[in-house]
Amino acid sequence: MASHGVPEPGSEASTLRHLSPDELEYLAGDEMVEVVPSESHKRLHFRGTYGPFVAGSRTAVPLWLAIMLKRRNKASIACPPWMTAESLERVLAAERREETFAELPFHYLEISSLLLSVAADDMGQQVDRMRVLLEDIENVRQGKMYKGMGDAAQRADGAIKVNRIGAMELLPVRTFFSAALSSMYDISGAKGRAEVARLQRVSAPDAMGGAAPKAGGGGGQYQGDLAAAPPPQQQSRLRRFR
Amino acid sequence: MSDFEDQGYLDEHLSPPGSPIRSEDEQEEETAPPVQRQALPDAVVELQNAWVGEVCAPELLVYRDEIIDKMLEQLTSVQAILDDYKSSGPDEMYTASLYQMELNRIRFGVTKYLRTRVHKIERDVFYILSNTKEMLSSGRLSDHSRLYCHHVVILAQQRYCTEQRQSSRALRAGEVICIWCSYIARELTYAKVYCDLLHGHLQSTVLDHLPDAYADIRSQAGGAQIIAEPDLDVFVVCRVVEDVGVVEISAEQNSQIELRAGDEYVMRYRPIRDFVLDGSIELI
Repeated sequence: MASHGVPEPGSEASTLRHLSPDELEYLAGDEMVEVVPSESHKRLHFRGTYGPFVAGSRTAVPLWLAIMLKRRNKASIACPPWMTAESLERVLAAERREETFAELPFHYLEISSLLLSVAADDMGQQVDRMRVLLEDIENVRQGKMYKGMGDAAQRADGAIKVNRIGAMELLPVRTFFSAALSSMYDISGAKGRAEVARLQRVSAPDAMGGAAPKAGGGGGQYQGDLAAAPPPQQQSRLRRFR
Repeated sequence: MSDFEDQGYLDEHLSPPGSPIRSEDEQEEETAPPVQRQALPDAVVELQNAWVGEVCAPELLVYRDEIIDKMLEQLTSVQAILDDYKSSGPDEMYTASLYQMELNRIRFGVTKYLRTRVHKIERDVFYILSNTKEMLSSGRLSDHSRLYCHHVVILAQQRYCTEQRQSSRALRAGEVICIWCSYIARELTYAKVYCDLLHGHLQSTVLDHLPDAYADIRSQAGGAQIIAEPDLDVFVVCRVVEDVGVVEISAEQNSQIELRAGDEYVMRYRPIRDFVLDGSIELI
């Protein structure tokens, strides 16, 4: 039986609790980039108006459209200003210097990986350097995030500020860390105590409380509530049924 | 519910657009300077945010019927226009394919949102049916969802009856849960074995020793609830949309934090639940 909160691979719960990297790429598709069309085209009216496309002059379009145009050889993609080697070096220095995350677009990992795989020839001379810098930045940020989660686990019930974290970096947070922190909260006994307090507020003082094991559970998993031992005055009631 | 036909569900819910699209400024940071961008996102970004919120939240959130209705109506009308346009010629085919891709993207978002909600309904069907009134009034459950819940339970009960024809005992808590386990498990043999094991375990350890008052799954006698509620103590990642002020996150440790617009936190869902339901904090 899977432990509380941790989804079994392939189970229904695992598909619900997080977004897959492909879905994140879909969400990143709406970020704007600049393209240089190779042919002219009239305006396109999507949710906003893009164009008119004049061969040779820069136009701002959503990323999904840019990738599509690039794949059909109708345009080349300009390197976003934050993704140049100089800018990435500044970001890496800032990441190493400070404890908080540096300023990067929310979908920076998806955008950069898409652009480097599809349009590497458009990104300029320093493509390899960019790849190395991006990897370094990713590692530094990941280290900060792991440390933050570790500190939170010590407190067993706290809030961790994660301003400017990236979308892809949140994937392990949503699955693994969330489950781990929930378990820590459970084990610490705070969950059981809070539940008892809630039930005592809601019903009469002689409530059975949250100490009774829950049968069945959300997501098709059996959740054994082993967190808190039943308070003394309720143990006597349980004994009657043995 | 792999037999669930998304298209059928969508067709059932097409209704004429009523409320206007709410325009919202985009929350996320922009990368390249918006050279020729006009007032964008509106309903589509809201739809995506709604989908992401539903995935992250442990319980059913408010149903965004104004967005979904608008999107569904647009999907069908624009698709019809596109189908006509495509047959005009090869140049138009190219343009039409670009528009078609955007339409596919919107359709994907809508499908994902509805699918996530359906999944949550299936998962918490007993809880939802016991609290129907409260969920309907707070807007978290649309009428269609409530009907769907009823159908799921009826189907589950029918399936149990056909499988256990010889047993004449009334439905007890353990047996209902066995239905539930077997219903969502995809392989019948695994479900049956698991069901029998769990049933036997619950029967011998708990149910046989409880008085009849506790036998019904809906029983709340003495405050004990057998239906499990969605776990609101999971940790979620949230972004503060509007200033919320000071929120107490732990009664025991007396810790409070101030939530200002633009901050992102990893924290327990329960303290911020009300803010998520009314939209001043969104889950990412």
